[in-house]
Amino acid sequence: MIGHVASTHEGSGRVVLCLRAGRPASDAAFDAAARIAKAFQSDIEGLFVEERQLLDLTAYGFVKETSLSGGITRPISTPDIERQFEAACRAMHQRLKEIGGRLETRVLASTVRSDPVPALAQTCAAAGPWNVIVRGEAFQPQDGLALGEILASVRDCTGLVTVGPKAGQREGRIVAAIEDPERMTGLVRTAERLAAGEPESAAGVTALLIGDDHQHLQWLDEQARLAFPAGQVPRIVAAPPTRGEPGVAAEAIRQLGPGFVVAQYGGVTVPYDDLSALTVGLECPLFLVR
Amino acid sequence: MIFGLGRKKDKSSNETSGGETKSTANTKSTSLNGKSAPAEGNGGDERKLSASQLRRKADLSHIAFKTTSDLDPSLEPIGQERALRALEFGASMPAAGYNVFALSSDPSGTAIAVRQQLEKLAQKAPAPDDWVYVQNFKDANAPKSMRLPAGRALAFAEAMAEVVDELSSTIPAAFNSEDYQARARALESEHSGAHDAQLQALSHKAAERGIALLRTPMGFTFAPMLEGKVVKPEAFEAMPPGMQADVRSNIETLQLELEALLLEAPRLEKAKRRQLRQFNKEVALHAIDAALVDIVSQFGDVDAVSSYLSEVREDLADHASLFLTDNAAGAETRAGDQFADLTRAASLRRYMVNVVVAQKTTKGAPVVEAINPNYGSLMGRSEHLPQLGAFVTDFMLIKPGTIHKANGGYLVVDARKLLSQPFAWEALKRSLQSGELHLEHPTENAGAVQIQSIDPEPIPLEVKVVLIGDRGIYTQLSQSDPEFQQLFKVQADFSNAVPRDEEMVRAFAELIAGLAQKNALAPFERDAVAALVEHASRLANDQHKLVVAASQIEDLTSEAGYWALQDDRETTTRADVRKAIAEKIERIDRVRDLDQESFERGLIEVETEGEKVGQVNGLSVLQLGELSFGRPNRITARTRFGAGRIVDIEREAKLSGPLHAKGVMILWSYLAGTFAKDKPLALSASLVFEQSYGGIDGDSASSAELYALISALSGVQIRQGIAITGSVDQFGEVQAVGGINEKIEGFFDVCNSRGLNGDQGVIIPKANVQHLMLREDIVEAVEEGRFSVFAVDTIEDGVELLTGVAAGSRGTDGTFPKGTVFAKAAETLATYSHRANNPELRGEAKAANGKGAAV
Repeated sequence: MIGHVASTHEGSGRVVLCLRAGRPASDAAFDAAARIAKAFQSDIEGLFVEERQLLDLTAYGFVKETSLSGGITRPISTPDIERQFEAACRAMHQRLKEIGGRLETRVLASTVRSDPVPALAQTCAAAGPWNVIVRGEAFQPQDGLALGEILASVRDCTGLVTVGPKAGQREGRIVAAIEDPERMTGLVRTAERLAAGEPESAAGVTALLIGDDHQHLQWLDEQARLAFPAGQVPRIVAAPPTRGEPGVAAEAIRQLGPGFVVAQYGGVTVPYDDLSALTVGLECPLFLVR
Repeated sequence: MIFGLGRKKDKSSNETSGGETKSTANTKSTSLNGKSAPAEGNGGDERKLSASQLRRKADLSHIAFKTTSDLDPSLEPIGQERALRALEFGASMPAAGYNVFALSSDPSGTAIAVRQQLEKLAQKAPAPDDWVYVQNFKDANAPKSMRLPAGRALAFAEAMAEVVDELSSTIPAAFNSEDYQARARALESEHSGAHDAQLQALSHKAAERGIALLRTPMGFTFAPMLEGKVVKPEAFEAMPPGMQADVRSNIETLQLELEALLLEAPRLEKAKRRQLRQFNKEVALHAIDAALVDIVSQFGDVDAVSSYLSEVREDLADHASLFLTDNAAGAETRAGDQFADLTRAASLRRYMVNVVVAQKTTKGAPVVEAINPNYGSLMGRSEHLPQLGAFVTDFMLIKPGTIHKANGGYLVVDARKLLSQPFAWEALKRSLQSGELHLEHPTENAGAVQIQSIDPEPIPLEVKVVLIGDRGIYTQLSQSDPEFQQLFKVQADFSNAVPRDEEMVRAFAELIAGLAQKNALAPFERDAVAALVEHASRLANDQHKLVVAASQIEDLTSEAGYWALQDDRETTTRADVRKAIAEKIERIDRVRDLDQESFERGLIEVETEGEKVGQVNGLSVLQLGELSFGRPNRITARTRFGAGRIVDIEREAKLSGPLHAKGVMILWSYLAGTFAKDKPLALSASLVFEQSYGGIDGDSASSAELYALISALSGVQIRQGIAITGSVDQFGEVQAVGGINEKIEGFFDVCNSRGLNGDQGVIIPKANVQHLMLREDIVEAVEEGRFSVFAVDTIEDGVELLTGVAAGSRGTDGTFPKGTVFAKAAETLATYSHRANNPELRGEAKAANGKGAAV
């Protein structure tokens, strides 16, 4: 979908930055949201999700909250949780306002008391089909399924951007991680759109071919050269054969020092379940194209 | 300022027989131009000096040479053996406080001689060590001083700079290497994975018990879970009580585990950082050790350097990140830019070496002259640069002083310059007393500007200081500073003038040869050397002395050489020397010309012909900086009946100094002793230097004043073509005075400008004949009988020369021979005395005295 937007130069859509009250938001996620909004000339909508289940917990008299340092454990109450939600929401608004000012783009903000995925589905459905979701919190190794749930449940989005715990790098080429020739054009076009949004960094596009073995890689290479007209072939780099090991793909990406990675969900690069390899090696935002 | 110079007479006798040279009383005894009695060039009058007595020509017959190139050139100081022995003693004496004060009236010339002598001593001494300042890694405000063998400091500094340059490449390379990145990631993932895994495990454990681990905005919490979702409270209430109790119990247990796990996190994080730091250090050390190999092998033999390099190694390992910042790259490209260097303070600058003393050779001690001995340039300073509103400094901004460069050798300082600089003298003393060179900031707290200071480690001080100053400064320091004598125990007394004997003249000629060679001048001809000898005598104002002030002699030889070169001569001649002298006088002589002009135009009245009662030409010297010249002054006297008082108008007008006042009192005493032994001196007199508007001092005009008084008393006229100088004692002995040559020349020039008539001349004290080194044009004039110089011992001699009438000496009957000057004076005084004894006339005398000083 996003590939369609990019290739047709429609230039519309919305970046939905999803921030959960219970999860600390990553600076890199805000930065990624801003970069995507700039690349696609879209609005940003900050969606602050006050997780309902956290409020539900306050009805349990025996449930307590342990501070992040582990030093304090105390009973939780509805007013306490609401105060925390309010403070987190205020901080988010402030950061969004700064981004809006910097990008000279429209920034919206909304707060919903719900679970994250339904809240995202509802927000994206209200704004039309060309949404890109940016996940506020950094992903954890076990978050693979959660990413899949968003992509599966939120129909009105063209992709999902997420950042790892080490994200910070923003200078560098845009790397499209190609595992499937069918997805090649869409990923590369998306990458090109992102690169075009950052002319000051002179970021180019690299198509990183990721295959199990040399034969697979060879085939991918041939397909890539066939897929693009002469003179429009991006820079193509083949990763070492992965033999199905996500760590190899993650390391190949890291060595390229990218400023953004565009990939598909559910392959060797971004497995369905375990994201351990990416949590260690990925230093830039990851754009999962539907 | 006009002043005369008095000088004591060597001769001890104070009785004269004034009649031995007198002719018949009341007759002209002497023809001044000598034409009437031209015997022996002085007309038979011993008082009249021959031309040869007016200027002692140089006799070089004992030296065989045509030009100075035939002589052994020498730049050795002449006739200063005593001073040089003292200097050598002080310079060689190892005990503390044996610094030298060189007494000299020519500090710059003496400094040359002192340096020459010290350089000879220094050649035999070992070269002192080099000194550097380096960063103190434990206390940046106290930079460390470090000693290296002579000549190795610069190489060490360069080697350290190379180490830094090398590390600027190798450390980033080491940390960017794939190997490092992989290992660092592994370490990172090992630790963060451990914590995450623990949380994950706890989450799984909780899930197995039907409990969910949830994040809240401020922490974690547990909640009952069913099929992956948090159980609604109402559903939980519907659960069997036993199940509810299990859930509660499990949550409490898990809560405790969670607390323990979270409390453990900082320790794990700390351990991770420590391990990462250790790993980083290992990586850095690998590069550091490789970079230090060369410098360690090159300077490992120097204990201090070896120890410092160990500290550097540790510090580099701890601060390897400094090489990974932009500063490191920036510093390389902006090397040499002082401000850019300062920006390295937080990074690579700490590994630089500030060389404060670097010996150029490994032999000989330094001899350094402090040209401008202000505090900073003498004692060293730490410079400051502005940064964020404050002035900051560090060890690299320490600038050595002259004393640092002289350490281990000799320091020559002009005492007057030193004492005129704030804090410098006190700082020098403190360093000599403590034997250490501290870097201080005497004024740093005086200003409102915030200044960062440092306290560098002091450097041991082993220096011999030679202060050069005149006797006045020496006396002043001796009297006012008790520490001076303790620190400067040796006095080297340099004489400005030496005896003009054969040995000294030879040495002088060799000095000229040396100066000619040193300054690449055309060799001096024999006659030119003779001219220089004569000029040196003239500078000394003494026929038997030579001024050997190196600076003066060198200047004159250089200028003479210049004129020889201008005329394309291969040798420097007497004419060149004379031209050099004349040109020098011409350059500074404008004021004298103006003075002369005022005589020529009659603005200042001085009579040089004819005769007059009560008026005489005295002589004085004007000193205006380097310029010194003589000039005549009309001195007049009026006498009248009175009560023994004299009005010294100069004194009354506060235009005279104490020596002049003393001279006037002495001459009054002479008058009283000569004419009023047995009766009151009923005389009132006034004396004045006509047209004198500046101050006068000295007693050299006292004989002239006495002649004027005697003339006024006796009514005998004084020849105005004769000028007089000389002081007088109570017995009428004429005594030597200073500036004799300038005085004669001053009067000669006035007379010459009006036309010499043969009757003009100057009367000088006989004791001053030895000081005559008159200009050659005056000598020629005397030789040709156009001008005369007389030397007298007594006032009586002078009276006779001035009046042409015998002075007269008191006979056994107590009276002076009739017709003599003194007889006439005595008659006048007798008249006054008679009136004084008449009570009716006393009131008149009282009124006549006015405000005159009682004598």
